[in-house]
Amino acid sequence: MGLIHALGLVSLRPGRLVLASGLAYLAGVASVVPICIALLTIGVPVDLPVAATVTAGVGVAGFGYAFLRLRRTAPTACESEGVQSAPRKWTFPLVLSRLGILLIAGFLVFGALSSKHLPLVSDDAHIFSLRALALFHYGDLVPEVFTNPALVRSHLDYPLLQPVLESLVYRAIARPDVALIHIEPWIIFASTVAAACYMLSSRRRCALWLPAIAALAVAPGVYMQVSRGGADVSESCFLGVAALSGGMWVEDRLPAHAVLTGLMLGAAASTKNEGLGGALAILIALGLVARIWQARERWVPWLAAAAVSVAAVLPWRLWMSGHDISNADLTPLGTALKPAFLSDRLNRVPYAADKMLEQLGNQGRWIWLFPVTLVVALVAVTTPRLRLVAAFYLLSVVGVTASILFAYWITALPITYHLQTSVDRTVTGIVFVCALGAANLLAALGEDVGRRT
Amino acid sequence: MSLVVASFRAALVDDLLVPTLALTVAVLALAAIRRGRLSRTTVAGATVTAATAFLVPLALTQGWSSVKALDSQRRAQHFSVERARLGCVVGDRMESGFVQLARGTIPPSARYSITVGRVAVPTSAPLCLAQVLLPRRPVARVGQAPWLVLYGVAPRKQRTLVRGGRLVVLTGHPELAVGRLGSRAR
Repeated sequence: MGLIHALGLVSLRPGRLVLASGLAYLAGVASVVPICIALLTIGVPVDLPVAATVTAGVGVAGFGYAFLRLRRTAPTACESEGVQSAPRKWTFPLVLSRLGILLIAGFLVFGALSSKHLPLVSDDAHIFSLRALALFHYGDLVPEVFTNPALVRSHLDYPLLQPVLESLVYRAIARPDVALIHIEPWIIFASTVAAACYMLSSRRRCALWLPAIAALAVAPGVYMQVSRGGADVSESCFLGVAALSGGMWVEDRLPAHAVLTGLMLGAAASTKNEGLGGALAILIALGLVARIWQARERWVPWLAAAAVSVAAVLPWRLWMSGHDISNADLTPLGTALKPAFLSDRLNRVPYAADKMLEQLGNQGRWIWLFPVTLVVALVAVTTPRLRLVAAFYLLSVVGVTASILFAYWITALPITYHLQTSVDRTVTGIVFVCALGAANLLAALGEDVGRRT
Repeated sequence: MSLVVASFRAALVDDLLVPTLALTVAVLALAAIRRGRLSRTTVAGATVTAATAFLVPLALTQGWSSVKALDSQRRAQHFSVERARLGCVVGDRMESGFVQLARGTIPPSARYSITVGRVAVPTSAPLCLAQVLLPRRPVARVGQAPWLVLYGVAPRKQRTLVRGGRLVVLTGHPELAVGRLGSRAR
């Protein structure tokens, strides 16, 4: 909460603090856990007192900075927009949208409670819980689990955000309750929905953005994965909020949104390797659309976002490189970027694209959020006020898709096997960027129309 | 190559082109009906209307299906902490009795190596064993730790690996055993 208050994204009023709790939780995880990972990589065991100290440090630093800033300057535009708005009349659309929000909240609580006693299976058992339990028992990166070549199939290169978070939950409840831990990904997902609602509600009418958020909340492709305890949805949550915040920065140039984007991208890249490609794609899209080379007011916030992301990712990457750990599923970039290598495998690209599009068009899993976003963004590109924001979302979707496609292009695994075992999960990030981007654009388009007519 | 291109086209047409076109046509039709002509404002308004009309029924119907699916998941699976942790043993079709044997034989703070056979053993077996046997620590190679977990290993090879040590074999499963290296090997 201290962090988003320091960024000027919430004022210290009880009602606003409650509404911003989802965003505060995500920002807290995105800032505290990478610091814990950095401590682990330099050999500092992370137990509850250490994590509590880091959390308190981030909170105190945030509130302290906000206090000093407020003494010097007026409240930021974002605060004044969100807090000083006139009281709303209870119109029919408003009542309906509040009812919709309540239904979504009820669904998320029900989903979390329904996943309370599920078994550890698949990647959850073999990768994330294995590492989370090792961190719970030993508190540091014991070589028997984190560098053991006998466990190479547990993807020793996978980033640590989810295992570290889960191990801290185990320590907080004083036992490794693996049945209860499935609630944690639900909390991240629910926080993402709440964060999107909070960020959009400060500037847009609820009835306009809610349908896209509702579709994402109930999409079977999301809740089926959350219940299995993998990290794909968590990574996608951070990526989606980063894209939403990035679009807001393109629109309002408030540096706080750029920093929030960087924070979320860093968290996405600290959760899964796909998040690293996605983060890079969104940062490039942000830089291109904002034309950062034109003015200092543009490249400084962009650079701050990039620096925050890099700072979150770097310690783990350095530790990996120091321990000679690399991604065994992908061909090393030194070989993979050679034109001869890429052209030899060119036929993989349309095959992988086919499977990815098949997933994205699967209405039963993703409620057609991808095609809806395409149409909305293409219409928004033609409107002068939203041209850049829509272009940013389109470029982000294309970039994130391209980063996953590139991974399939250079995969060291048989392509059919790799796609069969992963494509239903790897497209999750694209869907989250689509859903949150579509929510923002739909609301902005609706308000544009309202103003003109 | 032609097969790949054909399947690529099929995916576009079957999976994405239909909803994209349907929504585009709906947008244009709505815009034309509203004002009798197409302008940026009418197209934008029609997009919002069409997308909302597209997403709301889908979210409502899918939401209800999702609630039912989650409810059946809640009713069907109610694992205790211990059974939940052994989920990969069941999921990977491994022998749960062996996990109990290994946990009962190897002390909680000890180190052990895992050797799996090449036939009829799931490839994820070492990962699942490493997870369910924590806080015992797996090492990379036989000889680096006093204890051995032998899963799907033929009895003759088991005896070779323990090098004069002792073996505890799971009853009825001679290829599943926990061993302790002999004093000379250590």
